[in-house]
Amino acid sequence: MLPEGLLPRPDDGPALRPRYLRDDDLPWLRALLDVFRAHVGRPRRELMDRLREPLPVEGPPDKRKRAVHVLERLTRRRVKAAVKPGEARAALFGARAKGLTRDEAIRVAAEALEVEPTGLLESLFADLPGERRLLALPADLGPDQLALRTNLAMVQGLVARSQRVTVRAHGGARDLVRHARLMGLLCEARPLKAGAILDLSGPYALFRRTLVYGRALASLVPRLPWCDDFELRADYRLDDEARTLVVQPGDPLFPCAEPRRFDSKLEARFARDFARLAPDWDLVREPLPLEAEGALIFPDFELVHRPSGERVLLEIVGFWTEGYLETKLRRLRAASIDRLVLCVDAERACGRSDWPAGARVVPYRRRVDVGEVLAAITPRPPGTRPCRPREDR
Amino acid sequence: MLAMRQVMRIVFDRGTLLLTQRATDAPTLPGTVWDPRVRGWRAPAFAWRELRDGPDPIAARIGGRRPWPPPPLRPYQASALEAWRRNRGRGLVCLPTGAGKTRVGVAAIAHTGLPALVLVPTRVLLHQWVASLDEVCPGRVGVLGDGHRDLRRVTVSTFASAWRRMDRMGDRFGLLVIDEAHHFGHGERDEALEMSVAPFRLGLTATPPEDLGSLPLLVGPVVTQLRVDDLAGTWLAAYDRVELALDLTEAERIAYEQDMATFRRVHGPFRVGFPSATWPEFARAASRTDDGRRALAAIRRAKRLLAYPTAKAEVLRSLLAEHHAQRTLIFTANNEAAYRIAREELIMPITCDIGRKEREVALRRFRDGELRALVSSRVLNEGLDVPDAEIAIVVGSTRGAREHVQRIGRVLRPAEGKRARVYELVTRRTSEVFQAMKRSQSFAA
Repeated sequence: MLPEGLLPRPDDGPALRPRYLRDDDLPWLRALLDVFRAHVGRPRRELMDRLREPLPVEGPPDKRKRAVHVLERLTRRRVKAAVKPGEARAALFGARAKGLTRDEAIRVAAEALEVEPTGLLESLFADLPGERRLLALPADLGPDQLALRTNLAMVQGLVARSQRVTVRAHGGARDLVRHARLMGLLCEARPLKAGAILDLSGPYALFRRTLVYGRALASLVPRLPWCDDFELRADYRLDDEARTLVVQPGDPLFPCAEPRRFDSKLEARFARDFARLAPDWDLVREPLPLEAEGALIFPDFELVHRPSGERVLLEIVGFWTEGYLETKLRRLRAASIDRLVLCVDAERACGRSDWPAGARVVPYRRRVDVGEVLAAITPRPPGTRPCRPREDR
Repeated sequence: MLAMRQVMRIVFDRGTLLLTQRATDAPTLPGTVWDPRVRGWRAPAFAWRELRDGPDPIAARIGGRRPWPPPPLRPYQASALEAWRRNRGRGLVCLPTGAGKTRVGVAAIAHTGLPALVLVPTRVLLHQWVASLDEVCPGRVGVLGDGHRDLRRVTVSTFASAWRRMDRMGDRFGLLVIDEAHHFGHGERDEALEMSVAPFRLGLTATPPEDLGSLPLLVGPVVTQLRVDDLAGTWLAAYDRVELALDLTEAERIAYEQDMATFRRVHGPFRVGFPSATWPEFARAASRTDDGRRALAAIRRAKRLLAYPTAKAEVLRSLLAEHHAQRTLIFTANNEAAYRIAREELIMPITCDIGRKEREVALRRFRDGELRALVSSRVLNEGLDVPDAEIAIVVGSTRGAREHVQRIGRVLRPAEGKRARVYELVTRRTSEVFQAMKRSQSFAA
């Protein structure tokens, strides 16, 4: 995430779309990477001195500063010294304090540490940030990836200065909601024909913008590229000016590692077992969210019976209480979802007698039994209608 | 309102308070806002003291008072604590460096007996506070920051760690002690104070800012303020200030004037056009043109030259020889000058780059007389409990009168018959003359 001083200002481009690093920036980014790589093994100070001079292919100064900042974060360093710098300082400054002259102190300390006087002096501050030797950059870091990483850092810096963001997401909304909640954000969700609209903000956003939750909002940005479709809008403040940022598919941003496909090993194992044991059924990992009592429900799975087209939603519930299940079922009933199976952990919380009346519940112990699930969903009880995604209703 | 309060339950929610009332109730409570996201009333966590009415989950989580015997206090420290107590346990105590602010903070923790969080700006101060509390505090002291994550009834945290976690731990502490509180009041750090429910808050500083910003709201007003001269000669050592006016060499003068001319050619017109612009705004504007970038490079060179020119090096060497038998602290404008002095004079530097353990060893050796001098640009400025030093040599300064007061305080720890001496090295016909004048005026005030 870029610091405030490196973020684009109003005269840097249109209000809504930041000036990303793109293909025409690659030549000078390549030159910048070459400079960094040429200084591997050298003190960082020398690299900084070199970067004050022009590059063989020059880029816009503001963009260059951003790329250098990102590269600095990616660069690791190590101390290279004949003797540990801390030991060198202790010996040399201690000797000097005994009243020895400078030369005498160096000689005495060098003898005590069994190094040459020049080695002692070179080691003295070899651990300072500017004296540390640069290690090789990641081998796969090319100019194109550096551009993506710099763009991501810039967008995250802007989003971090916003009070709330709105994300329209299709395919991946569930991961965004889960991540937002993990980061302590409040998430209001509304269904769309395809996907959902998420209004995300920190609890404190009611009073003012905070950087604590700004950073939490920024952490959503690298997850966006994993959505099938998305649009992020963030109203942010910079230099006391209110501005709006829009991020869309195709924006050149570095994505995070692919989000986990399943919330737990339990879910992953169920998906694997179901695919093997129920050949007539398809398992949809992230069905469209459902609206119920003003909230969005993201079911874990949708099971689709290929011959009949029948659809059943399935939720795997780990920790639960009677009240939790009651609320869940009430919401589902309110949304006219009657074809839903809840798989509940029989080893936790309350027992079978506490299950809400009328619930289609499959208890499990450590592993959801596909046979029991199939028994629960076929045949469909008379008088009930198949569950369909919202846009089908 | 009374009826509403009787049904109200306050819950801490990620740095805020959620008031569990029906949506139809009027928003009559101060600072409370209807939050449509959760369909409930919400208030900032720091408003808990005003909103609470009887037992609630937050009070239960904080727990009851368990006072313990406070450390003995000097009369002015006891007065400061009393003033803070009279102000309902809120306020800023402003005492000069070396006057024992930490002890007032420890006494406040002991007196209230509440779970307390001490906020400090640096890792050095983190461990110093832990050591001070360990001596008197019953039970283990928690540490948050510098790689530690151990929350206890009494915990010391760096500003940064507290800021990152207060939305999750803001309901655990009844007392906040904010060391070097002048860092708060104007920025993102304030979030940490806003997201805590702590009803009791004590700010400690040697140099309260003229504009307190949000400090009165989040910590309280200034309840006690003493200056160096109020205590010098009694609870602080008497001291002499010696200003030494120096000249640049001919080559240095030429280089300095050239660089300043380059800088003024850009900075002068900018100042006329934007008289209220800040330095970062100027730097941002200048970095967009070739002339501007040259101007920025020129002012950097000029500052580097002034930080440690030949004359300062020569005078410093003779001062060190003159005071070889006395403990001496050397203050520079930047780390670069500190390291130059360290290399040339073989004096231990105390900077942010030197690890905690090595710094602690160096300070112990300084106390024991194994090191006669230390050099630093900023780390020694604030709070650090520096052993008895008699001589301060200010080679360079960048942060004005506040920094200067803190630096001088480093040599004012009282001892029998002690008279400290502060040397200020000022280069003639440079910007340092003006800065020195401002420092003198401020100090006299």
